[in-house]
Amino acid sequence: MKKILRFSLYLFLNDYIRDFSGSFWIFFFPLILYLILTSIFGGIAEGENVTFRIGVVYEEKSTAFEKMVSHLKGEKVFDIREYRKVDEALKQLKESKLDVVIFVDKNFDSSFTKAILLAKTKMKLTVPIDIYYVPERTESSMAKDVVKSILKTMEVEIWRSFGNFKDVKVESSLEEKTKKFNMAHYYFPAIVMMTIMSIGFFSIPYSIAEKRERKSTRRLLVSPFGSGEFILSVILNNFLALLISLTLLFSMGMLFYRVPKVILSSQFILQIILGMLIYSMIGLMIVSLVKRISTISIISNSLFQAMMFLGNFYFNVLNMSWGIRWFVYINPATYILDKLRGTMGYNSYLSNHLLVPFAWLVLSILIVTLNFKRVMGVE
Amino acid sequence: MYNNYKLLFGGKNVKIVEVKNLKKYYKDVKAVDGISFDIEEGSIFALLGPNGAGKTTTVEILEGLRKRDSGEVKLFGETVDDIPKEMKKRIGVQLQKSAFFNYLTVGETLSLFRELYGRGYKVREISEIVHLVDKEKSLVKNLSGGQLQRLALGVALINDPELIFLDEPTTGLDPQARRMVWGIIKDLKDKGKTIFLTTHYMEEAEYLADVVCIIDHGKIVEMGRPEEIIRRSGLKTVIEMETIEDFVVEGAEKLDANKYRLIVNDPERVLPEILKSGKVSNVMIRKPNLEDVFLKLTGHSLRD
Repeated sequence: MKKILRFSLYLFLNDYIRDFSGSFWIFFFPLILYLILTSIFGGIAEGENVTFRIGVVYEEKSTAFEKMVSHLKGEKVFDIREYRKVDEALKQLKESKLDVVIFVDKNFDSSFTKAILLAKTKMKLTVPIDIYYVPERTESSMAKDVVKSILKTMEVEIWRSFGNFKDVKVESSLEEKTKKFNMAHYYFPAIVMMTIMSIGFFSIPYSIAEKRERKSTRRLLVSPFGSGEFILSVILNNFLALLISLTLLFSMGMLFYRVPKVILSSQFILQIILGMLIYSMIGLMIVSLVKRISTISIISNSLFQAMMFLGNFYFNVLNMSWGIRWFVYINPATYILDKLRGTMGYNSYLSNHLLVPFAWLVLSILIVTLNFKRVMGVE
Repeated sequence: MYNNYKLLFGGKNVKIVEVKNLKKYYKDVKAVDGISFDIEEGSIFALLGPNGAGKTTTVEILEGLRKRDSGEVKLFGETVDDIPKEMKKRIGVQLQKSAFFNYLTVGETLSLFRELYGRGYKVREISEIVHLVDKEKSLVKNLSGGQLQRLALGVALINDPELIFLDEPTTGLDPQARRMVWGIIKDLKDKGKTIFLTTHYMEEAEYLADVVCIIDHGKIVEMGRPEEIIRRSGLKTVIEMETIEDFVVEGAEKLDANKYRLIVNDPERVLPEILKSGKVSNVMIRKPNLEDVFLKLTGHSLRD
């Protein structure tokens, strides 16, 4: 074991400390990408250049709510459409023609009046408003958060304008548990996953293939250092690099973007470890099946891009056609990322997070075992 | 013919390597076709042959990098298929092509391999042996071809091996660097090491080896002490010359555009005839060497 650790450190020195390209892609690129993504998409969360399409369904005419809505209609950022039937509005929501639907109960006005009266006596009554949104759709989640905060503000302003009650506060009951949407937080697990996948798809197979192509592995094989020890060293070396990379990423996330401390929880860390294991084995599987580094590059890049863009990393892909969506469901990254986001409080839309990732793990272990000698490039 | 060849060349009569009827075929190519030889402790054994003769395949089978199709290989008196780790510690290997890690220094590379073997010389001792003391802190990627070859030799020696495999250790080196490596190999023999050397340089085999085994198309064509091989060939004199345009020397091998080599047993009769033609220049008469023997035995040159 001492030999493996020492060899890993020498590899780390060779691959990451003294080779700038190695350290750039693993240590610095994730930070830069995180910065870029939050800079670009962070603006959306602040409402720049965005229109939220809001559907309002009145079960019965509501003077109070219409008064509130009239204030929103003056804002460019809102596209408010009224519907007679809730089914009609929900259909539009499902078809992504609306971002959020507000259902105003027939008893809204009376409930609202009671709430105001009770508020005078310092008692509180919640007024039911149903808000429908699609948590998997970023814009829908954002619209829901915006509507929620506006409702709270607007209701106070309305009653101020009536001139009757200046300090009345009425709380709306919003049947949701999703936390306030924050792009920097939402993207954080995606950047973590991308870093893990970079190690699996690039660092591990390239490191082995490059040493195999340059015949360094053959020199090791004639020494008392075995194939298994070499592969273990490569994995350890890359895990060390990943550990440093994630430490930098976690520090940046927590210090600059206030990413919640839940990312330090055992549940979050366990998912990261699972991802590391799966993608290390996938990397070894590629290098055991393919000989030439140029071919490895093509396969690794293709799989990396496919798994990243069809893994719900940066935008929703679950509303795509089945011609593409099938890959989302066999993609282990989809499940690990969903679990990571679920741990952070975002809505989780997949039920079984272990089946597909473990299937990949078992399959890759099997293939690596069968092709073990090819990993080192010997007969 | 050579299965029971006895070595009488200053060895210690202890067989370190024993190879019997070794075969390795790739589809239709007979890379190694039933070769047998022994190597005695403390001797230098050179496997000499042109590119593609089967030298590297043979040495890689002995090193454990390739599987043999049939035949027997004994190292240190033990029949081996997969060389056990303990035995690997007693063996040093310089592969024909082996790159080290570009971003490690010479000292770090030697130190790394010393740790892998768990025994051997100190880094400085090996640096001195292979003349790389002043390069200990240089990154491998900044070394010249000769320095890389010496580093590979240093790595082969770091574990203080009893048996050393050197696969074409001087290929691609300039004459000065080659002489330096020869000196190191001679010193190793003086220290009692057993050395298995492959080369396609006739002069290298002749200068270094106690026993030369000439191989072509996977078969041994001659084996013995260099001077014995030459004596057994019956060759007496080699005449090399340059010719003036359109003149062809009958029975001579063309070496270059207008350079020829003629191997004769009766120079006193042939030479006057050649000179009489008036179409030759730079005529050189010398004793035959291993390359001449190779040419006689195979009909082609070592460089072909």
